[in-house]
Amino acid sequence: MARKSLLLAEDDELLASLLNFRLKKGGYDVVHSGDGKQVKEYLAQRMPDIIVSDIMMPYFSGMELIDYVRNELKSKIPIIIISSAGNEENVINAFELGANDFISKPVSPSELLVRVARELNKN
Amino acid sequence: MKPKNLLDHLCEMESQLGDFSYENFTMSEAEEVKQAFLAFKNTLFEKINPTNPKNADYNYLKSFNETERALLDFDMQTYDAVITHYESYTNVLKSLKIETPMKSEKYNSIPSDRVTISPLQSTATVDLYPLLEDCMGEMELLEELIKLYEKNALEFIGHAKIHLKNEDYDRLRLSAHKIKAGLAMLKTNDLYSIVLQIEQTCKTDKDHKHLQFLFNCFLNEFPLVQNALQLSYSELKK
Repeated sequence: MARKSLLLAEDDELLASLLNFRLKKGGYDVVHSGDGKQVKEYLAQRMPDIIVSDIMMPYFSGMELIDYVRNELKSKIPIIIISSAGNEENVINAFELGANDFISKPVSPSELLVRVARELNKN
Repeated sequence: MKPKNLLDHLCEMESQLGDFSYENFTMSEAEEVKQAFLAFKNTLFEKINPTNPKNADYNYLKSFNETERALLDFDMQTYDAVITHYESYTNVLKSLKIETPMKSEKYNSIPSDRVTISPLQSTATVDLYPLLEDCMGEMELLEELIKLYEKNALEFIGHAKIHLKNEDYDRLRLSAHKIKAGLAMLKTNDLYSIVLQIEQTCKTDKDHKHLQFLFNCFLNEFPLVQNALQLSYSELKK
């Protein structure tokens, strides 16, 4: 079975390192970027099977990313948002824009793996 | 005690607290005085609140006319802040085993030159085992994460210093927000708590003095956390 591709958009190197490691161990082909511009360029060329993105990113926020994927690229791929505690309003906005799920920081890698698998199984 | 006497006492407290400053408090001292104040305030308000059925002794307040009641409410609000400072100060003095002037029958001036704040005695402990589990036992990854953590903290210190100097509270808030997740990830709760307060203060009253105090707390705590991290890492490596 082909490995699923996953785009991890997270500018916090610390969190990204851990998630990158665990997602790769979990059997995913992970592309990571902490730069919103790079994320946009990547998406314009290739659509992964799933996106995991932080809400607050420089240059191109998680919200803009959802809007871009849903409205410009017209893609329905699952998007999981990583949000800080206390950002409930952003989470609601993210769902309204078309996010499929969210996970709060500090992120448990095991929980994220379960959520990623669940979203992929839905599709 | 009649309301006027109480207000006189509070007024006198205010004048005694001219030299009071929380700037040199440690985080734990600040938290302690805050909690002590809240308890004190609640007790005081319970006692003076005429609607409290327990306070039969204060039924005479019912006889106050509207103006007197309004004046009393106003004064109590005004002195709320004074009580905060007074109780904080008293508890710190107590914790430092310095006899407070309030012990004497008459308030004397507070000898501010006798007040010395103890050096920061952190209880910084870190348990890296849960993170090592997240790293699936990979010590190299754990080491990399610790390095990134320290790098982020140092970046935060640099940025925060500049933002405080420029009184740029929006950027300070963003810097605090950015580092927050990493602090939580390594379960360095003291630093997390400080940064959370910095973020909140930047969002709300933007009190420069308090932000500087919190930043100093971070500066004091960070080396202790670094040591605790190294200690925990060494333990895991054995």
